[in-house]
Amino acid sequence: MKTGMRRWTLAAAMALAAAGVTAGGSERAEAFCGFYVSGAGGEMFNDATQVVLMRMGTRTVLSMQNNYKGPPSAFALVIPVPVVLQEADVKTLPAEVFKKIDQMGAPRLVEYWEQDPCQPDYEREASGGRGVAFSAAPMEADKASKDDLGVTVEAQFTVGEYEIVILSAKDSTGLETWLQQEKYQIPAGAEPLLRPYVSGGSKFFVAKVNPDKVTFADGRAQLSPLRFHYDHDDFSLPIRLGLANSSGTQDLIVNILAPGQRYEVGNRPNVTIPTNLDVKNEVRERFGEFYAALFDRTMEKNPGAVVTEYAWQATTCDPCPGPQLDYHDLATLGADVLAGERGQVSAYQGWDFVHTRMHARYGKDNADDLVFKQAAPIIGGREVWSGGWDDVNRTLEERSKPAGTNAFQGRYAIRHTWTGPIACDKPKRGRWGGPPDGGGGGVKPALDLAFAPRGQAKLEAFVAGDVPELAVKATSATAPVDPAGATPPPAPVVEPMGKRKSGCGCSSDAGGGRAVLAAALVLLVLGRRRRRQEAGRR
Amino acid sequence: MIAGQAPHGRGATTPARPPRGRALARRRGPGLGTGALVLVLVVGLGLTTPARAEPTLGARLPAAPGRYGPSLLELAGGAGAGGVELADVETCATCHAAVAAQWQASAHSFASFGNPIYRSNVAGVRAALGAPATRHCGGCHDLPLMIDDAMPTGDAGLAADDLRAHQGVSCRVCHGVRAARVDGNGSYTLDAATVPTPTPGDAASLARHRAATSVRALGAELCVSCHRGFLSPDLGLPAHLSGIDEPTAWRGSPYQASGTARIDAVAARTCVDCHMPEEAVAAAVRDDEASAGADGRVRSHRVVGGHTWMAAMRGDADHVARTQAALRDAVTLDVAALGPVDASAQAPPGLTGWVLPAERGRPGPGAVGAGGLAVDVVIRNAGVGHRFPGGVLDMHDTWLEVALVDGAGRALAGSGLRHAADPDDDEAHVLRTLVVDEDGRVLRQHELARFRAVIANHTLAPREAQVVRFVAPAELLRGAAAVTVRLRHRSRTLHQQAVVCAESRTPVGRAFARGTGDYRDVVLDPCRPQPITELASARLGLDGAGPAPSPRPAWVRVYEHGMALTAAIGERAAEAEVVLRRALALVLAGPAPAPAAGGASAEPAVAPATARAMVLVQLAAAVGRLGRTDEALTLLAWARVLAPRPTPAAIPALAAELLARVWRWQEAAPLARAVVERAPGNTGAHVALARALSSLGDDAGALRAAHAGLALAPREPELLRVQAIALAALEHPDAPAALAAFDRFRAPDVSSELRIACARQSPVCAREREGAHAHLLSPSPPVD
Repeated sequence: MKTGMRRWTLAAAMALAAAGVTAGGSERAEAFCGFYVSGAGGEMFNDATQVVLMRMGTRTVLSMQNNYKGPPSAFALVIPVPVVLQEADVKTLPAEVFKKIDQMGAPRLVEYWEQDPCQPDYEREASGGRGVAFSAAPMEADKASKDDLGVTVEAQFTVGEYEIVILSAKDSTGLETWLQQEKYQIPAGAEPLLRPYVSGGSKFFVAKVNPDKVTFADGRAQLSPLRFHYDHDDFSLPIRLGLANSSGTQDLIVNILAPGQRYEVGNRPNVTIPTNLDVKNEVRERFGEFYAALFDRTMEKNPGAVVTEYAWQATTCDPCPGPQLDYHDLATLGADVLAGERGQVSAYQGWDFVHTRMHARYGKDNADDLVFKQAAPIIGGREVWSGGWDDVNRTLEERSKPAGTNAFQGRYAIRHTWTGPIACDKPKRGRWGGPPDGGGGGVKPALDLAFAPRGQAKLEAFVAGDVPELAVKATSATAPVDPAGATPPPAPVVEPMGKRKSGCGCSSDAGGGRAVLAAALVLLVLGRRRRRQEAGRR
Repeated sequence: MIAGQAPHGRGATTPARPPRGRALARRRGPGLGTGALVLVLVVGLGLTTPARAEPTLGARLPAAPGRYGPSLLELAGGAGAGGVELADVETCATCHAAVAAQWQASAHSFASFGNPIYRSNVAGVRAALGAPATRHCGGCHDLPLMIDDAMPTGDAGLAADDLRAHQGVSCRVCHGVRAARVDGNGSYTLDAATVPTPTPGDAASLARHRAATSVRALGAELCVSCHRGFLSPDLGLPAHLSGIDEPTAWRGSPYQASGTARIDAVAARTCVDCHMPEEAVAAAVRDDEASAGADGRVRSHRVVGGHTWMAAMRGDADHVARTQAALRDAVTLDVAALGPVDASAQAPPGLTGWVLPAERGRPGPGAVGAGGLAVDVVIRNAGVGHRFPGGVLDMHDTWLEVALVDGAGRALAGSGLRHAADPDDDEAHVLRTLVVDEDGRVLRQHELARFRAVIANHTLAPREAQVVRFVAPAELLRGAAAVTVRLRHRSRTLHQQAVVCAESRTPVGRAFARGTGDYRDVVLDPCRPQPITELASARLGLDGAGPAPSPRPAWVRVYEHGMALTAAIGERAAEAEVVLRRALALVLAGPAPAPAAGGASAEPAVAPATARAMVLVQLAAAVGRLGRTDEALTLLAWARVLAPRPTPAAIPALAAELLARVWRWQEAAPLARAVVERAPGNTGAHVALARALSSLGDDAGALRAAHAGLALAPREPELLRVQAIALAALEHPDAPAALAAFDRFRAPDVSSELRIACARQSPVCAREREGAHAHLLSPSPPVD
């Protein structure tokens, strides 16, 4: 077996390891829970992964979408799993559902126009003073998704570009032998990375990819999403294998869907992204860059943290950057294999899923698997103002805070002040809504964050006001701003933008470390006292 | 003390210089770097690099069945006594009247076909797997029949009036064992040669007799050979499943100084200490008891366990009472905490608003959430050296009765209140395993031929605690004055009793009953109601009245609660952390911990520093489960400072586990080795070391570690896997055989799938699959 190991060539890039190699340069890479092998040799990389986890009780459904960069010859994904999967446990999913959930949880940019200060209040009074958001029409979106997606889980075992092979527990002990028999090559440096998995009893499934069924562009191929599920007490995401041999930094976005439950990580600090920030007009075209700066600053302030970007009821949104998740999407992502509620024996059909989106960025020396824990609901990032319309001191909801339900998002606004005539005695300022021409506004999500431009502009130049939690002082703190004047720009369309998030409105110590230290000091004193007493007795 | 270990504070004539690890801890405290923390642990243990020079080992393979397969019974001595002679107890009783009388009361004496429970189960095996498969049972239950090749070969294979079918594990069986192996399934060698009869007054003949019958040298291994059992392809089944297994739990427990789950302070005890205590021989028969010591005492052959049904079936009130007394020392019970739950019956993350520990009094305004009020009930195996309930884990019926009562004691709502009479009650929490068939259906009647996977195990390892959450919806709380909890025990489920009862009414059943009456002078009626034993009870007053819920120190209650919560699913580990931080605060701030007064105490008296170390270790386990490795190592470093010397194995064991979890194998391996040296009986310790060394690529070392563990547990799949991997890497010719052994005894590949299938079709399965799960209290029917 060792001989076989030595024969291995540097053909496969360990999951995110590949990502790490590229991250050493200008590109960034995202996490991946497995690794590539091929028969032809050559470098193979994975530089964009999205993960969606669904969890209820001990059931975990893990969906992931990977891309591949490497020779256009036959290759395979090798993925360790805690139990031996059965054929029915592995499925492929339509890529659309990943786009949808990414769009739903992504930080969003909205635009507001100050309404005519002399306009009667009408509906605003009745709605409790909430502003008008530029939401997509939920019902239409829901209908569209049903029509487009239907029941989308593929049940075939060989489907699309994949031929799925599940190794038994016995075969898994001889993974390298099996791969050799299948004419795959593994990098020589892979042995120390694989060994713990094999020794620890991990099982493996292999997704062989037929390159003839994959479209390559610039040496990259977007692979069909894979989904598998299993039953396990622990709820974690293994990322270590992917990071091995990495010399750079990885980005990982994890979406978790769980009935009535938000999640955080248990083994790193958790922060929420600073939200409800007003930003300058140019952010419209540089939203990704702005968000990357915000995210990086947040990480600077909270080293090693995992940033919560979204925690909201999964089937609603406000504002909505796209169609909401519907039941078909939830079934596609795993609700079809969750057990029913207490006393039920059917698939889970509840509508109480909470969508948590977390964003991690880490290096090789901080690549422990992400361990998730349950977290209390939070709110934040909504167009919710304190006080009524007549309150000149009213303020917009800031940061995140505990609540009875989850409604937190990363939301950033360009605000256009009223520049028209004011022809009344008691103008009411600060009422925000759609553009004066009555047209609809827009919501722009930050997508493809792994490829956002970084380091080219300072956060201070983007924000219209200070961000005290990040010690950011706006270069011009006169918010709101109105470079566009009375003529609003065309409503922005939803488009991919490279960007990262930032954040940290609310920071929590993952471990109660200070309490531990305090307790430890007390213990130290007690321990010394005990030893003195013992010495005295002797 | 292990080689190279520095002495800790004893016997020094000059001012002792602290060991380096302790000095480091003092100097740097919790701010230590991670590497230094591990150094603290490692140096304190005095670890050394093991010698490596020895010949390459081959595969250590589990024993294969021989002539008496599937049982692992072997016979020595060639031709000798036949089955009738082995079944002969009367001859022994002529000189050992007291012991024989004790044995007559034991379940051992009813191990064979005269026992309707056994008879019913064997009939099931025969029907499903064929007559030869019943030798699996016979190896331990039916030696007199086995050595005569007379295990039933069909319905007509055994006469109901055959003496050999009515004496069970007789004197000659136990005292004829010459060697015992750790495999289980009857893995002993019986010398069936005729026992030399002693002549009164002839010392030489007495010595020969004693030499031929003494099993003292075998020690606990004699028990192991039959109190470890497994199902496997040897029996014609598609998968290997471990069944009864007292030795693994006992050997890895503090009762054998090999506990690694926590710091504990119980005295070492063996099977004989607990189940065969010394007993005075009645004066009337003292002259007829040759084995009594000078003090007139013998080792009791009643072998009291938990089988109240067997004793009640034959109307032996004395044995029922003895058994119930033993059971009542087994566990402690506590209503440990209460607090609000949300609309989906979930406690808020971090147990916000919870009262730790619960004390009598009216719940505050924050105690009732949208989903009502929850109480956490904690059960702890306080006094049993193996799992509780023990034996065959799917057959027991030990359940919690929880009631929300009004001021007059009337139940307003409850869980398990109808379990005593309703075999189909699915609301109660039962301390048992859930076993499923190939379709994921729960099997309730011990149909072992259909066993495919164990879905959940809610029995308790030695000194382990378990928590069950009971949720009272807000609408049921009106008028509630208290929560009462009882842990009740019945030997077997009503489902199984129904099957056994039905069989006893068949012609075959009646015939065997007559045979038992003839030989044993008892009438066995399995249709009589089984005794129900209340093992423990607790009450939490919600109106400020009544006694305190527990007389034990608050820190102990919270400590046990936190310990139990570490078994919850991963994302709820934060609950354990919250509770254990509370325990730490109590143990730091409160008066010196005191032992509980009287009765079964879950916590023996410990020094304050030890108590703090105990809490810290459990807190480290909870923090480590959340993935905060370095913080957990810090806690362990402090625990080591406070713990008694030598350092309890729990500290390096947990450190090794935490480090292994994050692949810090170089640091984990020496700690794992230290655990093996301190807790050599703990199979899990050997697994940890073998995995660490294998992960490091030290195949020879991994193989050695696997060998050492397999000497204790020959079919442990983790060790068999490491052995197979190591031998393959070493290109050893035994590698294929080792891989085949792993393949034969590994957990079934379909286990996870069956868990999912079971949870999907059974609400019980869906609930019980999860550790520290919740039960909803149901309204009680109105009282007439």
